[in-house]
Amino acid sequence: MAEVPDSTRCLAGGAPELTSIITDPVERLLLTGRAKTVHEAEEMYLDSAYEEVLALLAGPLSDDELGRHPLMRLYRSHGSRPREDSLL
Amino acid sequence: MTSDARVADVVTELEAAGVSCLVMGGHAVRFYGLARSTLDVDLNVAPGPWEDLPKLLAQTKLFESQALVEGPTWRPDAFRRFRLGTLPDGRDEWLEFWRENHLLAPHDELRARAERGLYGGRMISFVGLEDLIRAKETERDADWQDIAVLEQFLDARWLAQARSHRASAADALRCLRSQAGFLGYLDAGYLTREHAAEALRCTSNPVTQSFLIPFAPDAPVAACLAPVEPLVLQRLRATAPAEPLHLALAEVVRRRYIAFRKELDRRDKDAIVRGRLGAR
Repeated sequence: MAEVPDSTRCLAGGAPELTSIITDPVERLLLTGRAKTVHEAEEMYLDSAYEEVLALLAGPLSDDELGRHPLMRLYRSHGSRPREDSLL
Repeated sequence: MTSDARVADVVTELEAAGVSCLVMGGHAVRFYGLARSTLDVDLNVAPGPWEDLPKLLAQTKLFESQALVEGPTWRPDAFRRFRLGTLPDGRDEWLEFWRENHLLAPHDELRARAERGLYGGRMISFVGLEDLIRAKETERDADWQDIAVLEQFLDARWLAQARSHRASAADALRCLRSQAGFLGYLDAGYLTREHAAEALRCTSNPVTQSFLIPFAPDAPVAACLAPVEPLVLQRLRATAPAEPLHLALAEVVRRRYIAFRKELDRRDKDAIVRGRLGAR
């Protein structure tokens, strides 16, 4: 039997060594098996990120900076079906 | 017989028996354009014949060759179901009646806003699109997936009405719900300060408000259906309309609204269950 690389063992078992170094919340949801697809992981994250939004709004970022923030970009991208797929 | 024709048959029989009913649920979703498989027939009925439903149903052709079997229900004053037949896969097919619930306006109001259209080869009546969306604001994720598409249909309809001068821009904007709709109105040039201010005076939906407030930040806003955090509201009033932050905040508000509505639906169900347990 071929030797299983360490990285594969980590992925399969959701080893704490790997998940602890992943800081992206969407990737964490995927790697821990709580979400099955990227879309599902993003949805779960957005539904739980309201406190982060409030903290950002209370912070020093300008409107432009907030608009470019990854979390706000993610909210925007989930606001509707893509334009080219729209009925309007 | 197709499931659409089956529904048309059921409604025609019920109306002939004197039961005023409107199609809701999955068949109404299909009527408004979203392809969706559905097993049961969901109807909203006038409160009058509620107690007599079994007797009235037994007189229709629907139950000529089968016994009338009423299924269990946990809110019998509001919801009743009767076995309509057997589906090709062997499961029971149910005819379900809603008299009332916290998501439905009274039947007469629903009837006044109903839409009549061809379905299953016959003209039958459906709850209006806005009422259907409201009726689907439950705790179920699947209903909110339907809503996301139905809201785009609603926006497309109102935008078409505004474009053809069958509705004023403000009247159309008071129903705005989706980002796609928002971008459509923006392209069409309807999102002016004047139109937004007029629409804000009469819309209580926080999602609609979040789309419109940056265009008329000082305009009076109607009381909101759901709480919006002051920090979010403050930023909406300060941010430039249609900029990336505006669209992101509208989505933040939409998700909070969904969470709020899901919680209300859960509480409604809990209250009914507690009431039934207490009555035992």
